[in-house]
Amino acid sequence: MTEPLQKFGWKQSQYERPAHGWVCGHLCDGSPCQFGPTSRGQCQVQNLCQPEKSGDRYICSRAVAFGGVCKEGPLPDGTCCQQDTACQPRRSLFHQRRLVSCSVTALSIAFCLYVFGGHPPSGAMSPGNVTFQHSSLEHECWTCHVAAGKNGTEFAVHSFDTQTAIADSNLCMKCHPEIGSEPFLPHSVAHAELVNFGQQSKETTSGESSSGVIADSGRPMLLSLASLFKGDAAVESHLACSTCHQEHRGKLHELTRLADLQCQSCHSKQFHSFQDGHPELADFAYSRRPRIYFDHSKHLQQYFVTEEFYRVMPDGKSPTSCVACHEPDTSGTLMQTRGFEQMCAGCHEREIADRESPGIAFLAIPSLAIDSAAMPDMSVGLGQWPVATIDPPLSPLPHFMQMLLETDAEYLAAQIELGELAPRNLSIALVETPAVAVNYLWGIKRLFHDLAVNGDVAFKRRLNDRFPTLAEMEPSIVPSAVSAARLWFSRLNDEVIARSQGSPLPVAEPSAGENSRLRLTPDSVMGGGWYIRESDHTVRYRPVGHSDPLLKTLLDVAVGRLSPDASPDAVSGMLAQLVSPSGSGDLSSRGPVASGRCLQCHTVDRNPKSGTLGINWNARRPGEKSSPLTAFSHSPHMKLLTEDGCISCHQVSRTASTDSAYRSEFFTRSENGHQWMPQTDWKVSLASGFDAISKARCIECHTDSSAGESCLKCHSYHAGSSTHYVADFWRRASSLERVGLPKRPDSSSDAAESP
Amino acid sequence: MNKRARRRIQNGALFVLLATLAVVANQILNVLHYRTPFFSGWFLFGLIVVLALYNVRKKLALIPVGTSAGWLQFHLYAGIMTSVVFALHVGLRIPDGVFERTLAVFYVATFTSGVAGLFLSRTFPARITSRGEEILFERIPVFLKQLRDDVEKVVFTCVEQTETTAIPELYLSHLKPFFEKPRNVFWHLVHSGRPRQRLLLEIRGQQRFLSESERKAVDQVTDRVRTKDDLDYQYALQGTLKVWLFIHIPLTYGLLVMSIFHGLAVYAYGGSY
Repeated sequence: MTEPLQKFGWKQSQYERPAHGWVCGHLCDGSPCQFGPTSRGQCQVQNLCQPEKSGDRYICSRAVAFGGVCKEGPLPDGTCCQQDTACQPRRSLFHQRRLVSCSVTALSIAFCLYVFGGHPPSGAMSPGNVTFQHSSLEHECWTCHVAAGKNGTEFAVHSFDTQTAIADSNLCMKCHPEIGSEPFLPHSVAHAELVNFGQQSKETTSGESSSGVIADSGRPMLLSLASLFKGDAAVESHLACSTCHQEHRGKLHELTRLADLQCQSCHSKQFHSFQDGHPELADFAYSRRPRIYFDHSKHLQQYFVTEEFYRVMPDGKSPTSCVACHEPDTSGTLMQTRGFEQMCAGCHEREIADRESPGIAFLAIPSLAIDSAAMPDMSVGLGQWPVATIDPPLSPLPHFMQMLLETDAEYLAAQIELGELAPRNLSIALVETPAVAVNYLWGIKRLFHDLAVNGDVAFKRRLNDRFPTLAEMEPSIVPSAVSAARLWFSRLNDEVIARSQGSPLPVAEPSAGENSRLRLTPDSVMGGGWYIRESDHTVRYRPVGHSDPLLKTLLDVAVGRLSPDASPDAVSGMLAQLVSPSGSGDLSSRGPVASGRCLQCHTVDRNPKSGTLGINWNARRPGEKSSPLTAFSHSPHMKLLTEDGCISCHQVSRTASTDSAYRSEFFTRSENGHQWMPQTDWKVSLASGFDAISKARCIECHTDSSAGESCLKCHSYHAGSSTHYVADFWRRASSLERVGLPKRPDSSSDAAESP
Repeated sequence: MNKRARRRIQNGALFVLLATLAVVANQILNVLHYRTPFFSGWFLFGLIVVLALYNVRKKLALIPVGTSAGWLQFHLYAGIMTSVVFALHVGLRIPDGVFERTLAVFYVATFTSGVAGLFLSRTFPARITSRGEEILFERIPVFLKQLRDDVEKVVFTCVEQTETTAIPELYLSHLKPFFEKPRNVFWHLVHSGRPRQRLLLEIRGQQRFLSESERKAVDQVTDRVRTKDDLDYQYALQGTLKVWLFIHIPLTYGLLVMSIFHGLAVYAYGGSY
């Protein structure tokens, strides 16, 4: 057994100082000095001395601490005889560790500066690959980040700028304008609109479920905990795109993934799953009336099944299946509606091009009820005036004609002076105030003369540029007006010349040849729907069939200008007449005819953004969302259809009323009672005639273990997003320059300036 | 139940509780549409800073900021907590970018070296005290020289007395390299006595050819061999306990530097609302 190596004692052992930076260089040899190096790493051993001269001899002067006077003594030349045993001190472990730490820190800083200091920044800075949808922007950081390519100061400013996330999100909007009007608010809609959504949802889902029982076992525990921390201002705060869309997580990262709990955290109704607690679907799919109104219940259960159907509608075709009228679009999302000719024409074509209908009067001659020859016409200068063969209808002039006459100051003055006498009691006016009555009637004659002489130029001028769309309407009314002028005022040109010269009006009839050339048969058809009705001296228009261009033009203008507060002037009167259910041009007409029939099927919607009204001339088209936050694609569900077909889900209502919804729901009187207003609220009336879709039907497949029951299966977060956006991506990507994306920081112009 | 076991259970339970709270809080924040990486990132950075302060605390022994043992316990459990927070921060996926991966590698290396240090500091001290004499690490070179000198003295003495070359040859062929510097570090780390046995067998195999006086000299040399091997054992284990900090501490500083840059980038590119 050997003796212990280590001894402790102030004489036997040294005091070790491991935290010192330096150790004796002889330590590795096992023979360190007792002094050790200085704190600066210098050896303190001084075994060499500086010999002192004493008389003729040199004597050693080495200090006692370093061994004292040596035996050998200095050399004869006065130098020390000893070897220099000073060591080269080494760094201690502690010091070495500090050195390594400093080196690693410096290298880390250098690496960071290399990564961050580039202009544009190094690709190493990227936190990962972007999704394949954004792969074309992989190396163009400035496209999505305002801080990219900025110098150190600006970079730091962006780091502490609270608006950086929103500024970045604004760059997203360069390529994603479809997100909505308020892209950074919850669901990309204004707060008030969101509240409206919530209110509607409460109203439509508050009723009892169709299945009778809604499974509901409360809300998930995590949501209960989250509710303790949820702020009230969340719905009004701005959310950056990156809140939900986490980029740089790989090419195949699902950028639009959102957990169900995240969806529910903002909603007042919280539940475990679609199967457990989700409200009934209520009016889903039928929440808004169809753009083209069609009552399935009435047609399928009343019209098509009666024995009289083919007798009443000899050209009608009773559909044998749903695909007779509906077909999937190219994406399979929407079961779009076929055209009018395929679906409706068999029964409704003749109804539209109704030859028995008088049509709409556009121009009319007031009847004087007496022969002009019997009037003191020569004295008052009325000239030729046709005599009606039937009793005068006691109706005012057509509103359209009034619009054309409003540019005639003399006419307007006479009309004001006549007051109630014009135009219904003009015979009385001719007796009581002949000069004023004649001025009034000459206004009408000037209109016909103007149209006959100047044609389209006069027509457009008289519309006074107020309705450029009407001025271009086709087929034009001018040829019919010219024919009517020749028919009713054969001496018109001579009369106008004589009146302008102050001469007596001519009384000679035109020659027989000329007269026969001008003479038209009663109710002469002028073509394109226009015709002249001799019996009441009117120029009328009857629609030539479905999609009549003139009526579409008139109705678009009319509906676009509709307002409940409109004053009853000629313009608003004409427009109201056109859109009214009895839009025949005569207030005495009964029932929906002519233009009124268009709006029996084509509903009118109000644009929620602009507030303007518009007619739905077409059924829903692919890409148009029926509900802002709900999406449904038919194609995955087609293979699940039973032998019942579409009826599996779309149950025709057995309890729907068979009463006409026409007047009570389609049109309402405006508040001031001046006109009919089409119903523009797509939520309140004119359903399709189907029962609500049952959630139980969906649950058969949509469970967590089967087809999935994620919120995003059926709901979209952004109210304005299109379901076809991904398919449309590459087309948009090719036009990035066009939409004005940010330029590369070191733009080509800068490069061109540099040598 | 002894004090250490009780402390371990208490601290372990507290750790599990806090880790669970961190996970639940992360889930709640995620549900509420907060950007959870911001929260977990700040939490992680704060933990790393506090953990790094442990090294400062060791140098400020005079300042009363808790006991060193308390700091060590906190350092251990907070260090393990960082792994939970890190997993939440990266979303249990491997970061994709070069910088992000480098940062993650730094964290993983720091954490792994910390775990290794925990293992070493819990196992090596017991082994150090169980074998040979406890020697200050800084004095080991001195004792190595002392043993080398002792053995050479025995050899020279033997040569003078016996005038044979058996012992010097044995010293030159087998013992001189052994006594020159610390040997068999790896075998000592894995707690293996195979090199020591092999050397002793070598010496023992020579004894049958030696005289009585030579055998006494060999016995003295054998004692020195055993002492030297114990000294090597001390050197290997104590050296390892010091060297692992060469990895853990520098990586921590590098991690802090890169975390700061990472935070700047995240705020500049992701916003700071």
